[in-house]
Amino acid sequence: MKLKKASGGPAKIPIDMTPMIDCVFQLIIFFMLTLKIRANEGDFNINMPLGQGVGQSSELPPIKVRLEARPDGTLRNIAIGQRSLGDGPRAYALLNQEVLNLVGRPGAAFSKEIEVELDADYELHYQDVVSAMSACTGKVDEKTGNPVRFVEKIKFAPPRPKKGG
Amino acid sequence: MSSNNSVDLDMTPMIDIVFQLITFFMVVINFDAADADERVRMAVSDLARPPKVKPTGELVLQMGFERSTNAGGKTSKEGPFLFYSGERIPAAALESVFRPMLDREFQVEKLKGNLDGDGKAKTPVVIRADAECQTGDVQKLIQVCQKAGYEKFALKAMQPE
Repeated sequence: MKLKKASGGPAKIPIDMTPMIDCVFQLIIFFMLTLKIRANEGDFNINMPLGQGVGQSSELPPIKVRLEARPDGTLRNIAIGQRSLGDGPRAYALLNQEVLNLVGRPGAAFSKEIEVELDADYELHYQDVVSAMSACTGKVDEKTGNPVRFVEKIKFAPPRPKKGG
Repeated sequence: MSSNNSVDLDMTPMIDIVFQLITFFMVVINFDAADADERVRMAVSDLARPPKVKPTGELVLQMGFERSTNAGGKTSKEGPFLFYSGERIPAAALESVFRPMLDREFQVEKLKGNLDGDGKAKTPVVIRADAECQTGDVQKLIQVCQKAGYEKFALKAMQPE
């Protein structure tokens, strides 16, 4: 094929953009359809070897947190040791404070040895267990927005039998 | 009218914008969320942060409900079920139905040499459980995994929006 050079100026070779634009629009459509905006997920790591009993994984006795449920699965009461903290958001705040009092200072080497044992009723909603785990693990620093960890080790007590079942 | 009268459209601004859009979507897209099951409405926690170092392999187990809304707008739910490799396993049948599947999974770990000194799987089990699940059912799932030879668990929670 011969390219004609215009007499008046430099040759202009037209580039066909259509295939590229087709591909690019297809890419956009793919990304738009697959995009799902959702909140980030995070982990609570627990290490539970089979047959591990109370106090076997650490030299220190674990902090025992008892979570009682109503028959409909909602939280009735949180107890840490012998102290009853009630239910609702205030109970989680109290639990957080109690754990901090026991740990002393967040981030201390001592805190890495402390273990929290959650003993929940069978019927309790999992959300309440996650909230209790969150309250035991630490809190979010109001200034920086970063999490401050009190306790690294969390474990579950053996599951309780289902009420009425 | 002459056929030589063609109008040259300047495509440059459009291509600029389109490439910016593609770059935006490529940065924002989260392929990790692809294995997140819509049927699981996760528990929310302020302290739930994504891990700094993502493990190379993990066994993701999802426990949730089949929810449906009728014509009157009333939502009903059925379950809880364990959603695993395309199957819907009732929580009551974890030991009988899910355990053999997990044993096979453990054998694969063994063949890969992915066991620690105690003969337990190095792979962590990631549990994505619905906020409305009964804690006992989640604990039963953990127990089944323990019996199969898994002892590292990560319980997933969602950051508040």
